[in-house]
Amino acid sequence: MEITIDRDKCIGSGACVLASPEVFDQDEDGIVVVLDESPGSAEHASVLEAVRACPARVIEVE
Amino acid sequence: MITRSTSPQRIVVVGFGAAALAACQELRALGWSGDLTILSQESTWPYDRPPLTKGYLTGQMSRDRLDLADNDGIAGLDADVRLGVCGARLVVDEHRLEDSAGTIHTYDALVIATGVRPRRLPGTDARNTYALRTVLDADRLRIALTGAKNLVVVGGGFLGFEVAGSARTLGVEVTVIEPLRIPLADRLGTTIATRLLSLHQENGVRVLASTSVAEVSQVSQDVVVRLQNGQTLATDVVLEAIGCVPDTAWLEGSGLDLRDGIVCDAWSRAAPDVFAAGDVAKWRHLGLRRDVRVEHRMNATEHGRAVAGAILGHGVPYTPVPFVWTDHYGVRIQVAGIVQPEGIPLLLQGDPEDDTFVVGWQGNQLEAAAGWNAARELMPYRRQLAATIGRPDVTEEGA
Ligand SMILES: Cc1cc2nc3c(=O)[nH]c(=O)nc-3n(C[C@H](O)[C@H](O)[C@H](O)COP(=O)(O)OP(=O)(O)OC[C@H]3O[C@@H](n4cnc5c(N)ncnc54)[C@H](O)[C@@H]3O)c2cc1C
Ligand code: SF4
Repeated sequence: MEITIDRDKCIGSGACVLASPEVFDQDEDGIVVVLDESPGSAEHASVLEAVRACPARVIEVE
Repeated sequence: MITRSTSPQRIVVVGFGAAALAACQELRALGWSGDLTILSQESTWPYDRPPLTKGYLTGQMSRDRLDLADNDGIAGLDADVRLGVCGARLVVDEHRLEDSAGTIHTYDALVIATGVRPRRLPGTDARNTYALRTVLDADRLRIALTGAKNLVVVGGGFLGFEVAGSARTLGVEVTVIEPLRIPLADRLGTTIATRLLSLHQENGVRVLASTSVAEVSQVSQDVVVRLQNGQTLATDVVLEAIGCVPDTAWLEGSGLDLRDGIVCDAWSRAAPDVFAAGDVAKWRHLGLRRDVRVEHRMNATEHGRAVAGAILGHGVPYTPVPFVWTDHYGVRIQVAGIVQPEGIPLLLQGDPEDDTFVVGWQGNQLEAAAGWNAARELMPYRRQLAATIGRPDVTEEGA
């Protein structure tokens, strides 16, 4: 799994951090920071949840 | 838990904003492959409203950045989308919906996500008086502000103050009129509301608090705003920002309960096979133990997804932690939970004079937390709220 994000679109909701705290974090402005761009399979379900929970569709996975 | 014997064949969605889009995306993500019809009053694909008071109004953000889905995303919904067509009449008992083009739709499940519309001052015929909900409203307001000397904002809520800040950055003189003594104290608590008021005043916004508007009228070239206290203000442009009302007029006589929005149960069900999501929906929140209606962006996405789950039979009671953010001159305020305006906020982190701080409201448990430029610092409190409000340990009512 490879994660790409469009940081310009992020509205700092934190929904991704709540869904998948091992993979996503926020900077001081609340904008998403990816901690692990190719997370192991243990995180796949939580990352997919973050993708769907994000109100701004910032996160993409391949 | 709602259990269903058969999966629905036909789902109709009324409204195509953030909540409707999230519901449709989630239905497909959950593998549902039936017929989907979407009716949308606006003639554009779903777009984001929060930037309309912020970057889009100041011209920093372009129109294409507002879109919530691109063409591929819309195509992926595999839906019959009818732009510019409204839900016009619903008969719940017959599972029958008539649209504004005269077409009759039958459904196995119906989602109503029609949002809210701005409340307007009664009887205003003045020119250059605006409200703000749609991208067209934002375009009109931006044109009016270009070359305007001054703006009067009627109503000092989130929307009014965000526009005030944006108008200041455009060089317009701004006066905000608000009945509360400390604007937004009801939504943010006094600590943050006081700091926010100073921030606007430092940026040159004139705030007339503890008073309200009696009348707006046109006197030759000027718009004249008369206050309850007798004072009058002449201005170029007026923005009415006095809150919103649920868009449910078309549902009168449908059989739905329409007291302040579409009243739903804990699964967002308004009637058999009828669901509501987003700003228009008032549902039973089992964590907060009351009926709530939330007019915030995060709720639209979460609620749309929850309704999709409920329709397909794997829904659980919808118990989100209400969450809102608001931006002013580069300061972002975020609130999680429901602020207790009478309660004294506790300082959870930092100091109210700092660049970053967090306050909270505590009853038997944490009720709400609010951060000033404190997105990361707020996270532990949001988790704490999700563990209490979001996980009610009692079943108040059955499915
Ligand atoms: C200017 C502005 C700034 C905002 N800023 C913030 C912010 O900073 N933070 C925050 O948390 N929230 C903010 N919000 C709130 C947030 O945008 C809303 O909560 C969100 O848009 C609600 O989504 P919705 O899908 O429920 O409703 P809407 O987005 O209103 O979508 C409903 C759609 O249904 C259509 N419709 C209505 N009646 C019918 C009908 N009969 N048939 C067919 N279609 C119909 C409407 O035209 C509309 O397109 C802001 C809102 C506005 C207007
Ligand atoms: S969920 Fe989306 S919008 Fe929210 S912080 Fe994460 S990436 Fe940004």
